[in-house]
Amino acid sequence: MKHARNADADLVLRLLHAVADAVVDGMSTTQRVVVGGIAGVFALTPFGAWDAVVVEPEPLVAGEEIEVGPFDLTVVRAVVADELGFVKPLEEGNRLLAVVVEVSNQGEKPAHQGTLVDAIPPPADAGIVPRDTQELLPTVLGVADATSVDVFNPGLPYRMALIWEQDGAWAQDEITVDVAELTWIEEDTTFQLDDQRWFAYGEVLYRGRLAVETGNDQ
Amino acid sequence: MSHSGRRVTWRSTTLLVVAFGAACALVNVMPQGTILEQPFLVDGHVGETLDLDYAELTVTEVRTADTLASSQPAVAAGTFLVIDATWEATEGETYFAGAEVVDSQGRTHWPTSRGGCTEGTGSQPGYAWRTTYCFDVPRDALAGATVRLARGTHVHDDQAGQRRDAVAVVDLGITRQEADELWEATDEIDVDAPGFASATTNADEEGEG
Repeated sequence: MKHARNADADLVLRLLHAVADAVVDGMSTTQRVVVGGIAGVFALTPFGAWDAVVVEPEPLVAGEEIEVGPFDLTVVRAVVADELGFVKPLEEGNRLLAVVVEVSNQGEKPAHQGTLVDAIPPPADAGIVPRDTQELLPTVLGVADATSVDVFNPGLPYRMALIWEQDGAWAQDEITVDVAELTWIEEDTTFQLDDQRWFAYGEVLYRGRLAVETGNDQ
Repeated sequence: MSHSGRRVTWRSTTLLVVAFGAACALVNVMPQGTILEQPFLVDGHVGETLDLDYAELTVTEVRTADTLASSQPAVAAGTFLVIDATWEATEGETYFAGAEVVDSQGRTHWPTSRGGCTEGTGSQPGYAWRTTYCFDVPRDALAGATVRLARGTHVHDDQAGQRRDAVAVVDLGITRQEADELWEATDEIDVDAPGFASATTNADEEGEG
């Protein structure tokens, strides 16, 4: 049986070889190169030739400054509290999670608050729940006066708290904080939306674990 | 069979091509982005009334404050450049949306609505409307700063909101020495709510009398 299997395999190989010879003989050099390239890519498919290139995020460390879009940004700390300033959970039993950052706009034009919000998505492992909309948008307040800063003018250091509502059952010591890449859109030919703005396509530039402090009104 | 129309000659074809080329060249060479679409800048200084065609504008006072007192006080990340102005519309009800400070480095700074300040205001012909803009700016933005006020906004480089429209550019008159003094001051300002400029003036005069 062993010899019979080898004989069958030889016959198949000889047939394939004959077919390949017949096809390749009729091709020009350019056609051979193109077909060879395509065949090579298909041959690599099992090894991930079609997989998207995954770029691992760089480590995010509390207290270390990074560059994101127009900002120099430092993630300072994370705090969980029952209330923060005038912000309270909408659902009884829930709590508030605040990620405190220092941000400075290094550009020549003001940056909107939304640009900062785009850069720091809600921590996926922190039990964040929607507040007044289905989107997990944070309330963004200045730490110095608990007012909402709409724009970040160039050259100023702002200490901001991004505040999300958190499921009351969540009880962990750390959260994972991501910082997303911001890309400058000079002219929006894709969505025909506003030109000259920062946009987050969702790629994570930095990722780090942040210890969560517990407190009130910090 | 004969053609009754005019014959297309090489000469007319050449003229047509040349005319078409000249028109294309004219469109490309004309500086539409830098001149034809630019707003009409009306320069002035603090205390001067500027005629913008659609309104008269006076920047009346420039101050700085670290804190804006209100029901919810606002603390500056730098210092608040507080600019009082009066608008009087001359053509019809108008909203004045454009407000930004441009510093000597070419950076722009937008106003805040915190502390009772205004980001934009409106008025009608027949009265002057007083309002206060507050810009949170860094120390190096004070000296040589100008405020740019208009009915159109200036968010993008293409001038879309202010294209071929009058824009006031008011020199705030802050010297380098004055900038240092303004920065060191730790004043708190209670911003007046927007209102009729003449009514406020009369009330002030009566109060003083």
